[in-house]
Amino acid sequence: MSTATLRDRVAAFADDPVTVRGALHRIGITAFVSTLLVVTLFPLYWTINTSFKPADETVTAIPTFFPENFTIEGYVNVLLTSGAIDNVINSIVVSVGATAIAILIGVPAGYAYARNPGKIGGKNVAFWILSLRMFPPIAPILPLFFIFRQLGLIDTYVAMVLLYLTFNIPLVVWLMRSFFQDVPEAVEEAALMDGYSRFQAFYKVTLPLVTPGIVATTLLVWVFSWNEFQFALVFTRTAARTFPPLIPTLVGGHETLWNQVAALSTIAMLPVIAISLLMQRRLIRGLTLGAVKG
Amino acid sequence: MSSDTKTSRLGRVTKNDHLEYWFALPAILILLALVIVPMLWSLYVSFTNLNLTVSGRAVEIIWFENYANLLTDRRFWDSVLKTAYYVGVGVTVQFIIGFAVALIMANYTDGWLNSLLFTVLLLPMMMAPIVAGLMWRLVFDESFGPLNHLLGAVGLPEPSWLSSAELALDAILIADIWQWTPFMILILYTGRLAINEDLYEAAKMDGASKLFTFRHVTVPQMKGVIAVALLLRSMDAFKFFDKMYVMTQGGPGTASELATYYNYILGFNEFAMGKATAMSWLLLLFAVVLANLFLLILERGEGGDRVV
Repeated sequence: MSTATLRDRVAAFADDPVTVRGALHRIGITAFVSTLLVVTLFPLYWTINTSFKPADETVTAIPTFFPENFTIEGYVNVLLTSGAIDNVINSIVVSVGATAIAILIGVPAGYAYARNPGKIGGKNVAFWILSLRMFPPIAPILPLFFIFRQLGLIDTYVAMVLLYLTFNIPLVVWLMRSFFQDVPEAVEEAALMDGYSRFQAFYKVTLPLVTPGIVATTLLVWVFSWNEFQFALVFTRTAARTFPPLIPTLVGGHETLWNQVAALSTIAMLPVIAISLLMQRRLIRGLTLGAVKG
Repeated sequence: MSSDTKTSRLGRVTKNDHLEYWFALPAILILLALVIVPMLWSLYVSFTNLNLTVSGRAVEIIWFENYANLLTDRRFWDSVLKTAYYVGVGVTVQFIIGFAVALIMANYTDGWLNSLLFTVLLLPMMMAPIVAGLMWRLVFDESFGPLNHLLGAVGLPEPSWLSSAELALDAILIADIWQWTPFMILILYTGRLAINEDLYEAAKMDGASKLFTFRHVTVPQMKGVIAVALLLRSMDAFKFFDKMYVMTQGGPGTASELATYYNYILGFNEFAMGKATAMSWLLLLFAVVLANLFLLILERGEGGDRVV
């Protein structure tokens, strides 16, 4: 295209307020979206960047925005040399165990509170269960530490699973209550008319209908268990220590191996990122305790 | 859609079965054993002089001495005031940014772009707070961190974020705002999408200005969602512990020590169980007030429209 036509175009563009506004509009949106993305993603990018550097490159006075000597030694060293693989395995055992039991116990309770709360203490007990989710963890930690020490349960899987049930069960009961309430009772009544027992109606008719809700609840509860720090800090030493309380101990000391800490953090993020990508909007309801249905 | 009509309808068909008892019993028993009984015991301990470092001493009931000691303890009040600052400023900033971004997303960006933003925004809030703290510990580092390097490169001062008493708490606050503003954005965005577009059409027909529409359509329609977002964030911010632990450990000195951390120190560094449990009960009372406000709003919204 010739320069003349380009100049004409620019002139026409500037004369037309609608197009100018459109262009400004587009520039504004581009600026808005890029700022949001950069601010949100920069710390993640920086951690991943650090995790692929050799140890000495993580503490250079002029930080490198890409690993100059790309290496996976951070990952190998933290998992094998520092033995963090044991902590990751502990995290998997505890989080999966606590999630499975919470779902097994919490789903039926959620159903009961959705259908006939009057029979089992009513709304007040349902609210009481939810309010346990909102305790500052230090409140139950103090007495439970004393009790578990007497029972010799410190630094065991059993202790960790039991502890995580204290906040997982309330969450499961409350969320599943909300999902069960979405299933019309007429569906179950029809099954009862057909001669199903109440348990059969629950198990064969209603439960399949809330499967998406159970999946969302399970994943959310698992993420909370996987991420949990304060209980793990107090109740584990070595044998049952999960990865979160390991992170600050790696940062302490006079010489921190930042590539290793960053590598462990990256490993810890991977399943959470996968779940976020998978679930998207469906997580909103769980994250707001059922208050906002995304 | 009240629960009473539910009971009678299913009740008519089912009469005397005990399904609900068997379904709810395990959950209630476990919570009684693991939370309620220990908490009652903790209430008892808060009236005693139990200290795990002093062995052999008979545990005596000293009634309100632990509570009195706390209320005259400078470090207690410092930590409580810092918590109030932290929750108040943190949640306010998260809300203002979150609301603005949510409305821009709802009004100016479309389809695939919003899906992308939605996905990216989920990442900070889903990751472990301890990992988020570690990330910001790296970003803020004063000798090799990227933030001060960039600030220096454009000629701005390079503050000592985590080692100065003035900035440590704000640095943690920034990390927390980073992690939780997306929560506000996504909830408020979801709430904004739930508003019936006819209301905006009607406002437009009447020639209402954007500000007028915002004040008289958007805000009133989103009241419930806004309250839920503010309360959930406040309750969570109040429990805050992890990031502080990995970023500053309450330091330097006690400059960034929040209430939950001081409570932890009392229990597990000083082993003053009586005083620690007393403090945890004071924190709990405050949490219960917030939780009840949340439940009140939840209950009022129940059975109404799908926003809340």
